[in-house]
Amino acid sequence: MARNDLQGTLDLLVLKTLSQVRSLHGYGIVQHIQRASSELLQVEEGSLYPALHRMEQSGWLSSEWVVNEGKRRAKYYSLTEVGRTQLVEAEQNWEQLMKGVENMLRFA
Amino acid sequence: MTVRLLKRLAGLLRRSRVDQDIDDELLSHLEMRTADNIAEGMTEEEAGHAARLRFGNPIVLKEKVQSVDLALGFADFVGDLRYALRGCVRNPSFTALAALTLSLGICMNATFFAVYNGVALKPLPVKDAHELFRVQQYLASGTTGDAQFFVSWPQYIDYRDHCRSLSDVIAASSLFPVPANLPGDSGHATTTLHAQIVSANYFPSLANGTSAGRFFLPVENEAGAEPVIVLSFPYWQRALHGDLSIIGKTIKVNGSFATIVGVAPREFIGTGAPPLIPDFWAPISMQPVIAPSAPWLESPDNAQVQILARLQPGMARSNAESELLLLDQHWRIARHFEDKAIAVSLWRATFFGDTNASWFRGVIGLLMAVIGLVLLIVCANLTNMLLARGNMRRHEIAIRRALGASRMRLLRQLLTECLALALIGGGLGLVLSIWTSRVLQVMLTELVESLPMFGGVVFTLPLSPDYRVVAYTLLLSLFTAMVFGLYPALQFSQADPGSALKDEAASAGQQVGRSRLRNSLVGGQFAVSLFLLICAGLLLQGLRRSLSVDPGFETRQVFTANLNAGPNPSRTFQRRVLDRLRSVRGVASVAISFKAPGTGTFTRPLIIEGSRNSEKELPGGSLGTIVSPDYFRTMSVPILRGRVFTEEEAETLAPVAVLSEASARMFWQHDDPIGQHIKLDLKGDNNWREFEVIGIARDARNTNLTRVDPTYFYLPTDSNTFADATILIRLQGDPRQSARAVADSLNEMDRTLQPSLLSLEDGQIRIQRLLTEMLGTFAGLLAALSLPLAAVGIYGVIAFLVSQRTREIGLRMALGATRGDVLRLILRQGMRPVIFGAGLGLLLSLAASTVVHAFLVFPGVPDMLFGGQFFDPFSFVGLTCFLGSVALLASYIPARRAMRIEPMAALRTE
Repeated sequence: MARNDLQGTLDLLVLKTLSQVRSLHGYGIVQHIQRASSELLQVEEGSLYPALHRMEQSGWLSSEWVVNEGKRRAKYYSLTEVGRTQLVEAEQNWEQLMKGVENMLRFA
Repeated sequence: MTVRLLKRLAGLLRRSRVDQDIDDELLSHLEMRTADNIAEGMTEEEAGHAARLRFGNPIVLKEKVQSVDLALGFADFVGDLRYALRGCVRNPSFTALAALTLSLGICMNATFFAVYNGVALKPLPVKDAHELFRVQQYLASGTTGDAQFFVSWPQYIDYRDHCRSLSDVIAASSLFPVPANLPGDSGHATTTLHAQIVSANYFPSLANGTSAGRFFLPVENEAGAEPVIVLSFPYWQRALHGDLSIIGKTIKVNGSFATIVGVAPREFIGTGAPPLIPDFWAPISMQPVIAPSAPWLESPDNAQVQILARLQPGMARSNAESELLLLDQHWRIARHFEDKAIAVSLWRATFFGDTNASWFRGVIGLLMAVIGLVLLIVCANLTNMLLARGNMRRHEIAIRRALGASRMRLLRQLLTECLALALIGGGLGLVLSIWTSRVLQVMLTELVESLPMFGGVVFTLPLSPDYRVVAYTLLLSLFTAMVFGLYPALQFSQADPGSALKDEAASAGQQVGRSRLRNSLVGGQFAVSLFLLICAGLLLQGLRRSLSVDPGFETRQVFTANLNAGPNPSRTFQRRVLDRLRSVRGVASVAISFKAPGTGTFTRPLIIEGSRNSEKELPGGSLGTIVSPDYFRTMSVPILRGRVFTEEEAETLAPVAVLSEASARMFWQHDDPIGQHIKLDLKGDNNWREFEVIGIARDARNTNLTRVDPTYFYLPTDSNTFADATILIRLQGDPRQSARAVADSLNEMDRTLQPSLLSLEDGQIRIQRLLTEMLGTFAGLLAALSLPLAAVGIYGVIAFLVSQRTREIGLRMALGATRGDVLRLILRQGMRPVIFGAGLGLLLSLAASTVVHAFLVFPGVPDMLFGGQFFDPFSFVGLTCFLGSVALLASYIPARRAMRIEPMAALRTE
């Protein structure tokens, strides 16, 4: 059985983003997901930040404050080892879910 | 997992920093979005607006992020606590009443715990006390009491030199009273001092430095060394006013001189068990002076010292225990001793010795349970108060629910309020208990020091609170909060916001449930109070009886003589001592008894031979003793039939016996007891000996003062030896003068005897009366406390009932109900739980009485009622009526208020 829910999906998106870009701040994650999904997915800030903090508390992400080119301080998140395994699991989950939904839709 | 927890806790501690972090992070997000918006061509104002719009309410978002970071909810708890404390301050009368009743209940429990703590838990005030152990032996002979803690000096040396798992093996004797002359006096002002003989390592291992001078040197530990002593701080202060020049001076102890070399530190009070502070300490080389008898150094069978020790680093306690057991067995086998240890235990060195015995723990547990009952009454009161108050707070709670507080959140908050109350009450209780412990300490110390049998030793009872008492009180407060707060909190947090806000009638179902609970609480309170009251009533009757109790033998003119005759005195020496005693003017007679009355007896299996050669064994066996023929005359125990032993029978230990009246009645209801036979298994090895009954003595309370011995036998023993027995002396004239004459005469004969004479009245009898008084006072105090608590509880419930039903009562009166009707209505309501409680309380008391009464089948068990009836109708019925009328009064006061309700006014309210 594939475990999935909306939160799980957001986690997957964030984890995948950080595995693709290495280290990014919250705003960057929103933008990346938007771009990479060809503007199909738009992440709500209202759910993103609680999710980021939760994943950091669970040890999936680590964070650090960085001053970037525009002299602006931003909190950059990156994946930890635990986060990496978590990503593999989430991806498998997602694939199973997709397969399940597909089967369901094709059922005659 | 733990890392996460720590992170959260760390986050909690820097809550303001976390706040700042979140603010910064969200702000940077907003700025980036705004910057992008501007890049896309918006004006600055539009860009900022659009960014914020997308972002949603920043405060809500922040709260959400925060709740993730602080998921433990501890910060909420602090907030709740602050809110609860504010609530307490807003409601001063409620808070004061609740905290006061709580503090009473907690104070009693904390004080009792402080006593237990002082007796059994607190470590001695010595160096590294938590590492110090006392050695207790369990002997094959089954000996209990002090003997389990004492070994002979040679065995101590064996332990000290051979036990590898112990370091610092220390020996300390019990206290010996010795006549002494202080330096500077001419030799006339002899005082009695109490001395303790200790090993040379005693002070270096236990005390942190001296108050003055030095401690003993290792060479002073050997026979023939220079006589030296170390004074205790209290004695130095009391008798010598802290005079430093005393060091190096000589003191005359028991006729020979000794040099004062040092003074122990102020806090050093010896090593306890029991916690009597000696006036001075002396090394083993002084033993012939302080405790003149055969030298301890050479008497392997003279158990005189208790052992304290520390474990070698890294050694387990069990290792040391088994090593000591092995050493003991080798040591005793090598000397062909009969008795040996079958187990050795190391106990943390506390003020008293035998606090690990199961009987002691049982008594403590029982008393704790009884005192816990008072706290339970307090809890019931508080639950009732909370339920009543909660009704008034229903609106507040409903509004909070309507505003979105979850049930969990409300439950947490309500429990926090109870916790705040409990902490206030607990704190107050702790302060109170510190004071009561202090009073108790002074009272008990004075009591013990005034006992003639202790002969003026300084006694210390460490009742001052330490961290254990504080922790116990805190835990007890938390526990109490849960007990009294959980049900009301569960009830109110579940309140349905809609109905609670609409009208009271809507939640009538809950009301019924709650009032049922309130009633059963009142019933329970009443039951517990009644139970305590009846127990106290019965015990106080016992106390009253104990004042006029006749032990059945003379107690004021009969003295026990304690002699120091060494381990194996010869028969001729014993005979000389006894002859000397009998020749002193003022001595009427001298008798030998196995033990003095009240100091222990033996219970032996007994078979009664019937008239038709039928035999039956007495269930539980019979109490009895071994006495010389003079015993009956000495003790004024009249012989009702037959005769006492002859001297010849006593010398040959002939198979004859004198029985008590009660035994004869029980064994041979109608037949003549004289000439009948009984069989006794004297050693408990199934070796039955037959005895002929030659006399019947009047009943007495030999075993304990509380009851006439159910059955009692006297067997003969030789009047001319006393080695394993007690000497009883009947004095004539002024007993104190005669006692001094006896002591002087013995001292003249042999200085080493050190006689100490104590009348039976001042010895065991006094202790037994004291115990009865203490138990009676204790029970009375508990009952006196629980009575007003129960009254307040009943009053509160009825008062609440009246306030709730004002409108209904007004309506009834408007419809023609008389004041009498209203009174009856309210009283009926109030009395229903009381009647239920009375039934329960009576059942409880009957059950307790039955159980305690059942224990009396064991002949040695004391009867704290002194022969009073266990089902005494006065106590049972009278006290029930008394408590019932208190309850009636408590409900009459609010009921009168109900009678005075003006119908119109009542209907107009609300």
